[in-house]
Amino acid sequence: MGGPAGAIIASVVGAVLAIGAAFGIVSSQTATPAPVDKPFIVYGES
Amino acid sequence: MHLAWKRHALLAWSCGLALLVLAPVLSPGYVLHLDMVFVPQQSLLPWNLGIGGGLPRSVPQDAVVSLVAGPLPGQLLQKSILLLTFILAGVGAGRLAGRTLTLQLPAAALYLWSAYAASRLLMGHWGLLWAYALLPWVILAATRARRTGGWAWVAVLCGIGALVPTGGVLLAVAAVPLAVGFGSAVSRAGRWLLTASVIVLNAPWWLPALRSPVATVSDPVGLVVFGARADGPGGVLLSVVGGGGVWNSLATLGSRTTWFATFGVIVIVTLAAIGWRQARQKAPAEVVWLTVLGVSGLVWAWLSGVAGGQGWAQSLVASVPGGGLLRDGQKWTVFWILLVAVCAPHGVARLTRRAQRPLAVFMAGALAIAPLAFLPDLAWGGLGRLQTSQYPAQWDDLRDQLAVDPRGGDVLSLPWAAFRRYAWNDDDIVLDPLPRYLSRTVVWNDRLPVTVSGELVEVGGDDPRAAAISGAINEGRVLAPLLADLGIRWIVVQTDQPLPALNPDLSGTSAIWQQDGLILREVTGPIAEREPRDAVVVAVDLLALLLLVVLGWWAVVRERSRPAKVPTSGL
Repeated sequence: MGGPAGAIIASVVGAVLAIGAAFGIVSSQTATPAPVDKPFIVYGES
Repeated sequence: MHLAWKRHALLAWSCGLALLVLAPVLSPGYVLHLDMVFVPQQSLLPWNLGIGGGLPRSVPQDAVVSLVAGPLPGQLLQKSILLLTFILAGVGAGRLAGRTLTLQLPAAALYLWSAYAASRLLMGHWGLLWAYALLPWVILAATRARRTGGWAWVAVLCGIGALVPTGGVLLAVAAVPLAVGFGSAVSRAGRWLLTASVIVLNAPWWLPALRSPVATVSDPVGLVVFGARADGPGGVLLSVVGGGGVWNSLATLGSRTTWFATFGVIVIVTLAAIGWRQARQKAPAEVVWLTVLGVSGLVWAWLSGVAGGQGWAQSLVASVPGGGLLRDGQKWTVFWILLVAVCAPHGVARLTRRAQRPLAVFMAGALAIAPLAFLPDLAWGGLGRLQTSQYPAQWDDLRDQLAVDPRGGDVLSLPWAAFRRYAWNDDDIVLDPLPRYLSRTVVWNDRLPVTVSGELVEVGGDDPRAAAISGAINEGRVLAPLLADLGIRWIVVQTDQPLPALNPDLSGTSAIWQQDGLILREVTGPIAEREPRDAVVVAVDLLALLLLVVLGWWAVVRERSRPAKVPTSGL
């Protein structure tokens, strides 16, 4: 495996990581961890 | 020059990642966040050794801090420990993964930059993180013991890592069976000595737990409260498979909620499955044992999240002494996280074995930066969630005020709640720093308030004096007579807290000192003398310390005598 196939694989992997990371950073600023199976537990407002 | 660069690449990579996570922590001041509390000068008090208070939950962690913080300022100690923890985690996982950089760098990143490390850092569980960092090292030491018969480093690392009970248990469980198990070169006497040494080195936490007059079983509600949680769209199972699922939403990263993070977990675990066989061929005993522990821990973590409310699980935690160690199930995924970090690079190596070298290197590099892409908000202290602050000057004045008083007596911390929010700490929630700040024993409310489905639940504390005070406050009784009976002479009221309603009736006490945010009150009249002592615990602590020093000296001497036989990596 090499040449064009390798370049395509590398490009796809690189793009997925870059786009995913950007999405993660945006999510970290806009979303709070949401309960999925159970409610989250937080410290009392003390 | 080229070879020298390669030799230090793993260390440089780990240092770089550690700095990327902890950069904000390194600015002057203290990180005061949830359970993470450091103070300028912590004094050695009986409760640091597990004497006279509740169950020894942070023993001997606080005793070690008290001893080390003498020559080292508290904030410098905090920064050093955190930085060293992350660097050791990365280098250790890398060395355990193999000898080439294409194995080492991804393994270091996967272990150092994990959801597990993130959640425990954000929870402030630095003692557990310290054991997490030493886990690959203790397995490397056990591997060496299997080959050479020299077991001293195994015991030393188990002892150094046992700052908290969970840390001591996880290191011992990982290392001792591996070092003395089938096929080991350790002699019969050596096996017994290693086992005995590890037991003695862990005695500083288990002995006071056994000798504690308070209950040695834990509140079963804790299993429900501290059970693993789903922190992403993959549910509880995929959350814990990815090292996440910690019970506290304040310790979870926002990126964990994305499908991309879940996709990342699936990809990395798949790679680990592909590489498992290759890793096992290189180090069968280590990989098999880590797999047994990893899968067991993973199953328990998952069960804690989905079966925490069931009777059988609660009876396990409530009826077995020490069962409380199991109730925060997510922390037992630690072995799984290391297994995945070590095997996934082998998976990439296997998939790219027929590829041209540049593509193989690129894919290994991609795996090395993948954790950063999946959890980008761990960078910069959780994107600013960990910040430093300085204690106000009046805290030092309060400490001095109480330190110079020649009379005996303990201190009560009010408002009657375990956690605090300070404007000077950016209103971050933090465990009350007062018990560590003062040079006298502070009685505080050790019941943990949490909200479950919008309702306030308190997980039971275990300090009898705190329980008595809770009862008096709930019944609206005047505190002064009870405090006198309990040997508590002073009351510190932190007036800058959001719930002053938790301050009880303080008739029979008088204010003797006041500065911004702090009032010191004194119980008028005589108080009962109370000086908790336990000569057995102190003697065994000293024995454990002496044993650690002797074993460390022996390990160094032995290593110097046979430098050529020291392996530099694991698989």
